[in-house]
Amino acid sequence: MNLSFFNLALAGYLLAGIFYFIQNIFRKKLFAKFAALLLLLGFTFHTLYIIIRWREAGHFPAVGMYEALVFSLWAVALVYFILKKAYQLEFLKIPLSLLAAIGLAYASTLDQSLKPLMPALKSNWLVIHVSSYCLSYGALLLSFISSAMYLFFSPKKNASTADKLDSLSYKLVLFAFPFLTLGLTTGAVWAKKAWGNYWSWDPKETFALTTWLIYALYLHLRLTKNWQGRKSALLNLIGFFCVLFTFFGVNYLFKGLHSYL
Amino acid sequence: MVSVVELLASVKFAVTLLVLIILFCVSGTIIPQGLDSSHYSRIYGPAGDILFKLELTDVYHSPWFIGLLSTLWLSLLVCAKGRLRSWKKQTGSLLTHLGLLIILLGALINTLLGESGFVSLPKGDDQAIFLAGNSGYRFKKLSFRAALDELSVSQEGNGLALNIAKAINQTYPSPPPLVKGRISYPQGQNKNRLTCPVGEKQIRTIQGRINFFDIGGRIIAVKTIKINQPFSFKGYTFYLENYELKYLNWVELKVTNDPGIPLVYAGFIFLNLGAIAIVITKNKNKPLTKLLLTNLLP
Repeated sequence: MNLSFFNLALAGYLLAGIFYFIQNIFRKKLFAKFAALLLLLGFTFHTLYIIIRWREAGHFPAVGMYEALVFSLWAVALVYFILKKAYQLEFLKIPLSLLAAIGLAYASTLDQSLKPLMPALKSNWLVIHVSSYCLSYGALLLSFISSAMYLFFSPKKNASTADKLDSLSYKLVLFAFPFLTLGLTTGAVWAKKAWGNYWSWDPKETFALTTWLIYALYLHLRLTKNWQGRKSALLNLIGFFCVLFTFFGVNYLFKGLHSYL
Repeated sequence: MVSVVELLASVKFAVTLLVLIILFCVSGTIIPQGLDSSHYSRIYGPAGDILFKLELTDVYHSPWFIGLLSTLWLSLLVCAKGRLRSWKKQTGSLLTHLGLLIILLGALINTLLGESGFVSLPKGDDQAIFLAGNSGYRFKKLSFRAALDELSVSQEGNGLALNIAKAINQTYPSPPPLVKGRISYPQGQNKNRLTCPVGEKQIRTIQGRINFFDIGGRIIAVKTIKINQPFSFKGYTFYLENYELKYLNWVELKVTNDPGIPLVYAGFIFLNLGAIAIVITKNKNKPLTKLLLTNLLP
């Protein structure tokens, strides 16, 4: 039953992406409306899947690579729906739908078995630490896409689109930063409670700090040195590579405390 | 003197510091930290020796890194002082900078005055010492004696746990060799901070009862310890770090005393409030609440 929600979510995202793409070519409003409906349906099934998984597993479903990935993709879509109108995110609808579809398809190849929660993770801090990180990573992914699109559609071709993408990428980093800070600090408090040290320079911790420092740098340069356009887009890309490295790389390359993710 | 303050206040200088700190963090992630010098010669050949001498193999405790953090602290101080004048306009940024200043101060206090170590408690043996330090262990005295009174294991009533209960026993490491009152770890080997080893697939509740005696041998306290449920006694916090599962006759407790922790946590609160305040002030024309409402309504 639950697995079919997973498949319906994947299908919803994929079809939304395809219909947005068709709409881009034929410029028919009807396609866009249909695609928006499909995206919303995909997100609804994704939400249902996570709720049911939560009940089945008996713990917050963000433990292990499979659950973390499925939950983060959900957070990306959530950030999209929250900020869609205010930040005018329509540029991001095609990459978002396709990325969610590809991400879920990749997740389905991972080990999906329900695992009991190990004692070190049994804590209310799990929910707040993981969900603030997922929300910030969601916004940072959207920001990364904006910056990548900015660099791809160089401002010479279409100045107004490029400007919008540039300011969008900044606004999304700004939105992500408090969640990134909350994730980092709650992680430290939790580590103190569970392991006895709030900081021990474990690779995951260190890279999470590095990521935070890069986005702090990004905001400083943007706000005080008036960095815009290409320079700030490139820095944003570096920041997001650090996010990816913290999320995936550290787990595959190093043995550390976060080996369970 | 003025020029030093000017340098510390400049954004360029702060950015340079941040970039250097980031680079050191990256190097510390790539180069394995805190191992014996022979390991580095084996991994990197002759370059390993140089890395070791430059202290890039224990970079977070190296004079380079501590120097950088101290300079960053001064730069943050000058920067926060500059923002005091227009604090109403820059509340968020002032709070984040104050938060970082307080966190680093707390970290300094922990480094200078804090203690951290392990106490090994085989059943029937009481201890008044603990083994401190990350590399090169040394003994520290406690003002009381501790002894393991009882250790018990219970299964939790979760259906999931039963399915994989069988494969577990092999994954648990055997306790390190015991010499009376002392555990010998290979030098420089980082101890696993997990209260439960990676690979453990079973939900289990391990519970120990620890008795405390004064030096004269009178019992002064009885405490219960579980995984993730540390307790505090006489300024020290005790964590269940390791245990012998088969005979239930040995536990190892992590002992910490971090006087800087209240400052660190206060700094965290400032930092988070500041980050939220920055977003709110930068979105002034679109208050976040209004922004959320317009989106949630169709």
